[in-house]
Amino acid sequence: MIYLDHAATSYPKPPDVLRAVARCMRECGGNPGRGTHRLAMRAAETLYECRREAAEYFGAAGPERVAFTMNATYALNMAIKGAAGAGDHLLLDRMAHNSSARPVFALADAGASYDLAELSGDPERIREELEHKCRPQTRAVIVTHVPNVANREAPLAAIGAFCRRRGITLIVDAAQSAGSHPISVEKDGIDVLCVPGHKGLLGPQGCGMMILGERYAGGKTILEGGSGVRSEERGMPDSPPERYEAGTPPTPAVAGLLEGIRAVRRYGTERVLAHESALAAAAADALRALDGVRVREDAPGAIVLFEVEGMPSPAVGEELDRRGICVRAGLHCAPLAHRVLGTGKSGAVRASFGITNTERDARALADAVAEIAARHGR
Amino acid sequence: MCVATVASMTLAMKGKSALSARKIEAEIVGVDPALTKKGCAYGIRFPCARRGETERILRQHGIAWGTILGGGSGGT
Repeated sequence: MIYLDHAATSYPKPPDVLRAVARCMRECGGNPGRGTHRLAMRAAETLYECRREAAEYFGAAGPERVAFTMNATYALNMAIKGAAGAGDHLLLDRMAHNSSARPVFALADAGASYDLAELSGDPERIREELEHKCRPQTRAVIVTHVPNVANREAPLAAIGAFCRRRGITLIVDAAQSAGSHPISVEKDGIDVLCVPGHKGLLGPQGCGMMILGERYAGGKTILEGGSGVRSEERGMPDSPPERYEAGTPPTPAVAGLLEGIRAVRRYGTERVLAHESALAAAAADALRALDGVRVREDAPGAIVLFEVEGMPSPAVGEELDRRGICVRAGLHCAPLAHRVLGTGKSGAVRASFGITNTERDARALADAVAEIAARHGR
Repeated sequence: MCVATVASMTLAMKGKSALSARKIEAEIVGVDPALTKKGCAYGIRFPCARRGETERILRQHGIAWGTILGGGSGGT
């Protein structure tokens, strides 16, 4: 089996991640932040260690700026819905995944307004677009750092500098870039960085993070419940991270995430991107040489988006699965981005490379697609 | 021993870690909700004899505390 769906979730996970999850379930069985008995404290220490590691890795001001969520989508919902309400305006990246588009649409249905903006490419052009589209009512700019169907990258520092000057909250969807692209919350001027634990950070599914910039004062909460502290108060605590963590956090998943981040740091973020880009480029070159195959994306990165002439993308995905190759076909929950790429009607096939893939995997993909295209063309 | 009450378990952990790094024996404890007026809370227990140093370290690390129990009142 060849796994080329790392943009959906990374697989396989490093052995240290698997061991940490099992160890946590065996030895840290208490509820973190709920009491001070030894098992509760072991669980709390697990969360704290992961907050510390993540804060260091993402250039945040301290462990208290890292809040755990169920995934990046929860983080984006909290950030976006916490930042704006009726009468406010938002600017949304044209390459947005539904994880940030749908919260914006939900706010729009409740009386907010939004515009789409092209936020990847030349920083000067982006600055001009931001100047043009931001209004006095603009509360947040929501940027897709790297989309899930293309390799283009948003210049975070340039967008961050603009948002700081204008006092606008910068929310970044780093679902595809965390673990493979350098990101610094403070240096890039990010207010809320939304990160999944199970993709490039190699952790288990079931946990993500909302990493807050030091100047970010905090938004409204969209989830309320137990927080382990200030139980006599009607609302959630004022300060992060507990403000954003209603209910019991996923401690075993966080234990795995901690080891995932450590694995990425040991390997080196730049090396991850170089490895994945080289494999994707090799696959893309081989696919481009095939009759009846069109490759859509040519920027360097982990993703190869392609179509086989005359074949619906899910059929290509199914044929690849029969040959033992896992890819994702369709619209990838990113219809806005597919429209930009010209594949908005029926989507495309996405092969996404990860740290565990090899050149052999890239060749196998090209060989399998060659066979499928030839058969279909007959 | 004295106890500095803090707003969250995360801040308690951060405080304990900062104090331990400076060789001040510290421990996280639950605080009687009746004392905080806001319900459940955590505190960092430390030797009262090192109160000045403890307050300085907590301040340096941006850790706000509510009350210091056990050694007279004070706080940020």
